[in-house]
Amino acid sequence: MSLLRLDALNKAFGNLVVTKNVDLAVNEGELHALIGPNGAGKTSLVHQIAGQLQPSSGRVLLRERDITHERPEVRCQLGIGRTFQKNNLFRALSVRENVRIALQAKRGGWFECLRSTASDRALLAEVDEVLAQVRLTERLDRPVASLSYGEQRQLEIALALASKPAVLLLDEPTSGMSPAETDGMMDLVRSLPRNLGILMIEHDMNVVFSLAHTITVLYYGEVLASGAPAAIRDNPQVRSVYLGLGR
Amino acid sequence: MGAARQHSGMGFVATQLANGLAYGALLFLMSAGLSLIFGLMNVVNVAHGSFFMLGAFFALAIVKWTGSFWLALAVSWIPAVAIGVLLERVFIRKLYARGHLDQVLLTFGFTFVFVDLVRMIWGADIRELPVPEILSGVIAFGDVVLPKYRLFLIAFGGATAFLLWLFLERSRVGAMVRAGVDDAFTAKGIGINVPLLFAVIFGLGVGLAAIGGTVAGPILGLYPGMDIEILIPAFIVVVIGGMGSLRGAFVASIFVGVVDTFGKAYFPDFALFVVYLLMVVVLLTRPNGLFGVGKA
Amino acid sequence: MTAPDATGAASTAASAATAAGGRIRRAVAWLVLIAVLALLPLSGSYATGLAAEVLIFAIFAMSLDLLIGYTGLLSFGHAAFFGVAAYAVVILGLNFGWSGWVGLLVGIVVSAAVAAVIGFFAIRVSGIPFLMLTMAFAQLLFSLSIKWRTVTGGTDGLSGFQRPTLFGISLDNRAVQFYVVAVGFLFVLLFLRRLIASPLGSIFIGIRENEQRMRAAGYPVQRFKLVAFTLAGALAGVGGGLYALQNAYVSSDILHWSLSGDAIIMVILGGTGTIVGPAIGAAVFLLLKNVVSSHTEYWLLWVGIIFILCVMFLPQGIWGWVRQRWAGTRA
Repeated sequence: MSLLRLDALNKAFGNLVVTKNVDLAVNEGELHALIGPNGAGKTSLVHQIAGQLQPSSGRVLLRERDITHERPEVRCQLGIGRTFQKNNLFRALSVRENVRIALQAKRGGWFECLRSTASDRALLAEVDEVLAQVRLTERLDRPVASLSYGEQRQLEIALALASKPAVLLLDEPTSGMSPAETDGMMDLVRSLPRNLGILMIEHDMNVVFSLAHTITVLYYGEVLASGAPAAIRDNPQVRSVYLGLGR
Repeated sequence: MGAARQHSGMGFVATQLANGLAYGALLFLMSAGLSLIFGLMNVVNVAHGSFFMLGAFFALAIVKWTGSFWLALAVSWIPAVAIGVLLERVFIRKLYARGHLDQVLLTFGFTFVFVDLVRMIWGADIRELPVPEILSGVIAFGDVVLPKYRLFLIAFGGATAFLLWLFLERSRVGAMVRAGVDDAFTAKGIGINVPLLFAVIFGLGVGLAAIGGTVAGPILGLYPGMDIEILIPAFIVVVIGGMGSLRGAFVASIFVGVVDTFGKAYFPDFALFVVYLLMVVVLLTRPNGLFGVGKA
Repeated sequence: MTAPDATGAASTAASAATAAGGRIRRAVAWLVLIAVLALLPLSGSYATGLAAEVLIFAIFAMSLDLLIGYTGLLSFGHAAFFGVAAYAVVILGLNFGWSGWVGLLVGIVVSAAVAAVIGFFAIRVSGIPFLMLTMAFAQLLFSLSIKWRTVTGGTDGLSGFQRPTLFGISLDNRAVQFYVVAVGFLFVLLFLRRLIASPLGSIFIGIRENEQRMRAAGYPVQRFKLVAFTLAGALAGVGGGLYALQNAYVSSDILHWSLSGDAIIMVILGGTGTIVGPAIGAAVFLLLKNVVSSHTEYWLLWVGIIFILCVMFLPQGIWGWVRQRWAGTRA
C-alpha cells in the first residue's frame, strides 16, 4: 500500500486545464521529485494534495483513505505536511513562536485559555528540537521578518515537520537560494526521517538527481514520464520538451 | 395593514417605481465612486457621504448667489473635488500601506470635521434646494402621475452611468482605471503613473458623490446628517453589487432603491429590516456580491 | 572558581533580572491601577459617573479588540452583544423581579448565545463582507428592538429598573456602582491577559497573522473564529450588563450601529492588538467628548481633528506610542 496516491486527478478552471488525468504514488521512505517547465501545474497539484484546491475529478488517497474532499486542516491532522513556494510564515512572530504554534496543533489541549504557554517547558523544548532538525539554532526569538531568505525557507520546513507528517510536500525548497544555501538544504533533506514519504517540486536538476528515488515529469498538467532518475534522464520525450535537463 | 389597502392600482405602483428608480439613481452616483475607490485603490472611504453633503451645500450656496440650479449643478462639484484631491494627496496617500483600519479612523475623523463645518456655516436646520421651474410639477399618463423631478433624476442617473461606462470602456484613462482595478501593482509595472491615477480616481469618485448630493438636494432636503444617511445604503449597494464593479453598482443601486422604496411603502414598520435582510441573503450566498471578483 | 560558561551564566542572570524587573513593574502597575480605582469615588459624583462610563466602554472596546486586534475579524455589529445583555438585565428585573446580579449572569450567557448564532453565519465570509454582514445582523436586532415596543420600550426605552444591593448597600449609591464596574473591568482585564498568553490566545493571533498557514498546520480555523466571536460577545455582555446596573435604563439606542462604530474608533485610537490599548482609547474618546462638548457646541470638529492627528502621527495608537516611548527611554 502506497503512502500517498493520486488517482486520475483532474483540475480545470473553465477552459484552462491545469491537471490532466494524473496518477502518482509516493511510498514510505521514498523521495519522489516532481519536475516540469513553468506552468506545468506542479504547485496546483500540491495544492490539490494538501487541500488548498479542490480537484474537478479524481481522488487523493492517504494510505488508501480517500481525503479528496477533506479541508486542509483535516489533511494535516491525518498526516500531510507541506511547505509553500513563497514563504508562508507568521512574519511578525518570532521563530520559536512560529514552530510552537505549529507544534501545538498536534498536541491538543487547545481550549485551555487560562494556562500560560510560556510555562509549558516540554513544548518549548520540542520547539528547539524541531528547529535544530532544520539547522536553525540562532536568533530564535527574533521576528521572522528579520531572517534571511534561506533561513525562512528552513523555517518553512520546520513548520511542516512540526505537524509530524507522514507525507511531506516540499514546494521548491531551494528556490532563490545561493549554491551554498542549496547544499545546506540538500543536507537537510537527506537528514529528514527515513520513514517520511516526500514529494518534492524542484527546478534545480542537481538537487533532483542527487536526492530523488523517483522522478515524475509534468507537462501541461499531464504526466509525461515517471520512473527512476536514470530512465528519466535518458527519456527522449523528456529531453525534447524540458530543455535544461542535465545542467 | 390598513395603509396597504390604500396602496393599490397602477398609479401608486408607478409612482413608487419612479421613486425607487430615482433613489436608485442617487445610490448609483454614491456607490459608483465608492466602488471604484475601493476596487482600485483598496481604500475604505468612510467620508464619501461627506462629499455628497458638501456637493449639496455648495449647490445651495451657488443657488443663493446666482439663483440658477443649472449653474449649481455644473460647478458645485468643483470645490468638493478640490477638497477630495487635497485629502487624498495630503492624508490618504500616507495610509495606503497601513491598511483599512487606519483609513477608517482617518476618514471617520474627516466626517466629523466636515459635518461640524457645515453646521457652523449653514446651521443645523433642514434647508431646501429649490427645484427649477422646468422640472417641477408632474407629468400625467392617464391614471399614472409622475413627478418630473424624479424622472429627471432617473434620466440623469442613466446618462451618468452611460457616460461612465463610455469613459471606462473607451478612453485611455478608462483603460488605465480598469487595469488598475484589476491589479494596481502590475499597472505600475507597465508604466502607469499610479499616484496620478489614484488622485484622478479619488477625484472622480467624490465628484460623483458631490453631484449626487446636488441633484438629491430637492428631494432629500439638506441637513448636516445627510452624509451618514446616504452612506450606509451606498455601502450596502457596493457590497451587494460587488466591490470594484461598476455594473454591480448599477444593478444593485436599482435593486436596493426599488426594494427600499417599496419596502417603506408597504411595510413601513419593517423598512429597515428589508434592505438589511436582502444584504444578509446576498452576502451569505455570494460573499463577493453579485458581480464582484473578490478582494480581501 | 571558573564557571564553565561564564558568559552564558551572566546572560542568563541578566535575562532573569529583566524578567524579574518586568514582573516587579507589572505588579507595581496593577497596584497603582487598583489604588487609583479605589480612591476615585473621592473625586465627586460627576467624575465617578464619568469614570464608570469609561470603564464600561473600556470593557466593550477590549472585547472588540479580541476580534479586531487579535483574531483579525473586523466586526461592525458589536453593539448587538452589548445591548442584548443590558436589555436582559432590565427586562428580567422589570418583568420578573429578578435581581440585577442574576440578570447580569443571564445577560452574559444571552450575549454569548447571540454571538454564537450571528458568528456562525458571519464567519462564512471575511473582509468587507464580514464587516457589512455583522452590521446587518446588528441592525436587524436594532430594528427589532424599535418595533417590539411592548418588550423593549422602543426608542423611549425601559426605565424603573431597581438596582440590586451589594452587602446590604444599594447600587443606587454612586460609589458602590463604581466599585462594581471597576471590579468587572479588572476581571475582564485579567481574563484577557491570561487568554492572550494561553494556547488559545496564540491560536487567535496565528489566525490573524496567517490564516492559510494555520489551516495547513492543522487548526480548524472556522471553529476557532467562532470561539473568538462568542468569547468577545460574552465579554461585551459583561459591559452591557454593567451598563444596565449603572444606568438602570436601556433604550434601543444601545443597539445602534453608531455604538459599534464608536467601539471601533476606541480600539483603533488606543491601539489594536494590545489589551490595554482599547481601554485607553475608550478613556480618551469619552473624555474628549465630555470635555470638548462642555466647552463648545462644535465638539465633533475638534474630536475629528484629534482622530486625524492620531492616525497620522501615532500609527500604533496612543498606547502603542506610549509603549514605544517607554521602551526608548529604558534602552
